[in-house]
Amino acid sequence: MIETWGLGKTFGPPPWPLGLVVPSARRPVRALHDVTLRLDQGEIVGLLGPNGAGKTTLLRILATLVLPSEGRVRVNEADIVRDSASVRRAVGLAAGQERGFYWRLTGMENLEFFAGLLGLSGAQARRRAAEALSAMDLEDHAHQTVERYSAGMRQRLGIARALLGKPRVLLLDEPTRSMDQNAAVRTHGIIRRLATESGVTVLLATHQPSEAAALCRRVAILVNGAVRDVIPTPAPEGGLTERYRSAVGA
Amino acid sequence: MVLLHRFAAFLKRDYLLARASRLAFGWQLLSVFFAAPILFYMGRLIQPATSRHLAPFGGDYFAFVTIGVAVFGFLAATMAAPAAAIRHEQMIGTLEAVLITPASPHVVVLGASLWNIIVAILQGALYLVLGVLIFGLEIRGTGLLAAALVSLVAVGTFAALGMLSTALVVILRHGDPLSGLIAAGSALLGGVFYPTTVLPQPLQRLSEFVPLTHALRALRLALLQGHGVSALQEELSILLLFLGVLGPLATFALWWAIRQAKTAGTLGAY
Repeated sequence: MIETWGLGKTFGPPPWPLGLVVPSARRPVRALHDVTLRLDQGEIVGLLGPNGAGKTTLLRILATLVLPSEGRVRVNEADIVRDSASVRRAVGLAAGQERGFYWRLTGMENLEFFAGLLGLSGAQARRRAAEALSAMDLEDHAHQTVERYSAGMRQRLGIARALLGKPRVLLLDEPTRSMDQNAAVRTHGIIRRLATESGVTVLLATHQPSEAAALCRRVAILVNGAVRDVIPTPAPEGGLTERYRSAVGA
Repeated sequence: MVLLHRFAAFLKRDYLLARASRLAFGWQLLSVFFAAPILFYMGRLIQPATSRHLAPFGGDYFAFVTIGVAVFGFLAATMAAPAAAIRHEQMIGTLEAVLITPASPHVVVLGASLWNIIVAILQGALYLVLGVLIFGLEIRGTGLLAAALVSLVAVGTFAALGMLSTALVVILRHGDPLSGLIAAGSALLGGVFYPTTVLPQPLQRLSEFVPLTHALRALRLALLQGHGVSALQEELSILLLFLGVLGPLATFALWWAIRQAKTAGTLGAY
């Protein structure tokens, strides 16, 4: 479950004397403003918005990587500021970046390492890594170094890593951006199963109204850091696209 | 147990990465085979009788400088390891992925440095082994326990300095600015290549505020003169005082730096 009340984030200049030595923007940048959302257990909610709308910032706040400037956020009943350790135990984040892995290690070795950081023993970590690789159809590439992976495979590996801790909340940032059609469809199936069978709450940031419509029960449209509209689905894809266009003023 | 699993995961990862770069790893250890003879031949230039400054440590310059270089090497590496490890994670983009796990940032920093600290300790030990086996360095067995204890406290102290340095790396997103400076200052004032008694009085006084001075003095007395823990109480107490001040300060500094980076949204930036 995810709950936010009046969540805001402004990236401002660092406090004195850090401002003298740390490179940063001179003027404050408001990335999120008054975001109030509630995602129930097992619900898949989409975050749809243009570049710079604040989608990634919101996911990073929920993952405890960025501190909010205002408002409150609870993930799986834990406050993200006061109890960030509990939140990190509950959350899996697939950031959709190609970086973030040790390219000279194999997919299996990478996942074993991250499973080890969850506190699992060597044997448990190996088992959990193998399960996650298998879930993302990467078992045939488990012993290949990540530098040989395609961009889509690395993205699947990122989702596999997010699944290692059997998270109660899954945060996905453009999870199928670099995937081919088949891999994207399989990934959608996995996300759906996680929500319906395991009760995992999923927040999915995407540019694509079609992906949001296919997967999500509701879609929040984020523009300039604020939620402009929350659209329930299923809705005809055209309907979602039209409302999205109207919200972003396109 | 969970903590041990986390440290084991870091060690295994770094072993695998070192295996993937065998040449660099081999060179790290091989360099000792070149440095040790250099120290030996430099030692032949300085006769025991010529320097009263070496007398408290047995009078042999080769023994004096070998311990100095070995200990300085592993303590400087212990200090540089955390910041280097975190900077590396920043550069390759894995820092956020590591910090989003339930492992605390302090465990991450220590875990990520463990491999380099162990390699540095092996390098230091290799100096001593080569010194004993090839160049006739005489180590007193009676001081080994005290030497181990002093090393442990010194490693803790230098790891705390390393954590302070890591805090700066997290904030500045730049190469380690502090470790090099402290290492250079320690080499000058800490008595690595010469006893601190050869320094002018003001610098001698200043050297008492350098942890390396006390670590080296205690280790030389333990290994070369066979002093036990009770004879090294003064140096051990000073090192413990450094650890008692620097440990909490470094822990707080790293917590604060990570909080600042999370506020600025720069935790994963480089």
